[in-house]
Amino acid sequence: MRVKITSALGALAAVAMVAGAAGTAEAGAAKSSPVRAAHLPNCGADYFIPCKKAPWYLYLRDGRWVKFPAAARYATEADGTRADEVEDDPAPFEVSGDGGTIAYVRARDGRVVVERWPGGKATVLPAYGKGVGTKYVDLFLSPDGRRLLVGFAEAAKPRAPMVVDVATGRTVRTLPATDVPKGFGADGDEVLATRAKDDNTIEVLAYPLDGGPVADTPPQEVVSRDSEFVLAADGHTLLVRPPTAGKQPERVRAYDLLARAWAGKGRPIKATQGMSSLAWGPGGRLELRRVIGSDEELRRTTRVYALDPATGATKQVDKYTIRAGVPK
Amino acid sequence: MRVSHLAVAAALLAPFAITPAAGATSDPIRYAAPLKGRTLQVVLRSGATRTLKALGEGDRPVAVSADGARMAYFRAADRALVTYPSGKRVGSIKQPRNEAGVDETTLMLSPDGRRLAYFDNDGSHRGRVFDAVTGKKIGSLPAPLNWNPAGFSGDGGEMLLVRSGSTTDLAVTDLRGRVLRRDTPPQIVGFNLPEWDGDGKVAALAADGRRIAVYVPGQAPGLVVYDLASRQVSEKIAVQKPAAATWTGEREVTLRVDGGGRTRLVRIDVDSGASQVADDYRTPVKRAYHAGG
Repeated sequence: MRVKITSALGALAAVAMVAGAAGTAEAGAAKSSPVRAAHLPNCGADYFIPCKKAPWYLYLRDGRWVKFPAAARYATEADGTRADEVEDDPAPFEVSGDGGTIAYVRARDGRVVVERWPGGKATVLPAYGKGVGTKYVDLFLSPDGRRLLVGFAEAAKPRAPMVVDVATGRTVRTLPATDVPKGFGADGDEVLATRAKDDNTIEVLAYPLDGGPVADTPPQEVVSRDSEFVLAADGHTLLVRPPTAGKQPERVRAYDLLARAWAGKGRPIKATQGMSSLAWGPGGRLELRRVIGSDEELRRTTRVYALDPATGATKQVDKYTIRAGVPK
Repeated sequence: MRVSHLAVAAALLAPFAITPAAGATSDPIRYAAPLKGRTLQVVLRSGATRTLKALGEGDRPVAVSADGARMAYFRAADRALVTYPSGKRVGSIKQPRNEAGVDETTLMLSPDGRRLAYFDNDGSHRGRVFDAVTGKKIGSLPAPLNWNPAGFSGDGGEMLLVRSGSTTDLAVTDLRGRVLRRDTPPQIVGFNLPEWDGDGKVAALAADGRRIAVYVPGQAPGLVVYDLASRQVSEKIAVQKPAAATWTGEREVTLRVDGGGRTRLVRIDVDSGASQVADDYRTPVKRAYHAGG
């Protein structure tokens, strides 16, 4: 899962990569509590300025905060120098949809590490930011944390996105350098990407780990800048939250890349307020996240709902608030 | 292919309903070019020129109809909006004195020169539509800030408007601003519609108010026709990048193509893809307001 960093979300989104609300946290088994978010405390209000000496933190499902100093705080430019504060993002940090795997840039040497949580096996991967700058590296974990997708969409020179098998550290496939990766499908067996074409259209491509993609140029409502879409486990159905006009309720609607058509009607989403995004949670569960608040308001509350795409019904599965400053 | 001036003029004028005012023009306007001071040079197809005094402030303070029969501009003497060659005033519109360089005043004439749309310096004001022959007001259009006017339909009976928000939507209105059709077109159409004046995108609405010709850029650039009724996009017809487009017949779109120092009017049969150069002249060195925009 991936929190898209947009100017609208501002520095707020830039400093918290949220995890899926994982399965039930077992009482008394706090050590096995999954990660709900990785958080780099920001002391710059609506700008990104990390709090002095404060490392990344993991915010666990059971409410505990765990310091995570191994991860790089600042992103780097292509020449390896530190990317500026204020306007720029921190180094990438990802949490898998099930909250059981994290991926980050190691502070010591810039290598990307994928680690089971808690205290599990770590796979040390190359320093993908070398020559590119970690500022331009996007990391996506499959919902189960078994695969990592590395993208370079904003890099000065296009570089081919790649899918890495976390267990072996091997690159299992690459995508054309023109593709902008969007993340994994529900079961982690496909990756989703978009491609801006020279006729001003945006193509959506779903790649299986072997073989060619299912590709289509869907209606504007799928790819608009205010849309959200994720790829279902079947490898060709998109679940879309199209943009809404006026006071219309948000909807969830399926679009079939193979049939090149909407698959059914839009279903009103029965949860309101806040900016919403779609992601895959544990066990192939579709989740809707809503964030209310901002760094300027010194707090931000995330509600995670399980969303039934067939009916639009929602059920809150997690809710947490992150306050400004260093967690106590 | 080169054709004689007379033949070209006749062919170009043929598809239009020729009113007495328009029909009187045997030597249509190719373009109008602002010279020094407030002099506006009107260049005719024969090569003859006329000069008059016109205001230069605004995005498009001069409009020449696609048939070259009529021009609208702001007369320098009294700042009044008038038409050429009749000199008749349009409504009681006068160009206000605005801060230099920020004026967005835009004029548009229908292809036959009988309808005039006026958008003043404030994008949040509604546009106004006039009968360019009588000077009387016909109706008003949504403010350009919300709906960018992309031009009149081939017969001047409707207006094509484009709005860019989350998606790029289009609307076809009558001249009183009533919405006849509204659509969120496929990407290939929507993302190539002119979203704001000066974005270089080119689209034109047919006389039926239903079909839209859209220029699609890229390595294989071309023209597509989008049918608002069937929501189907035609096969792409290879064309060079146009600066403007006008429907000049039931199945014909005329493109103005600038390149290599020449300006060409290219007539495209949108069914067969056949093309024919209807006019060819040296591109004016400086800014000019061409027939058809």
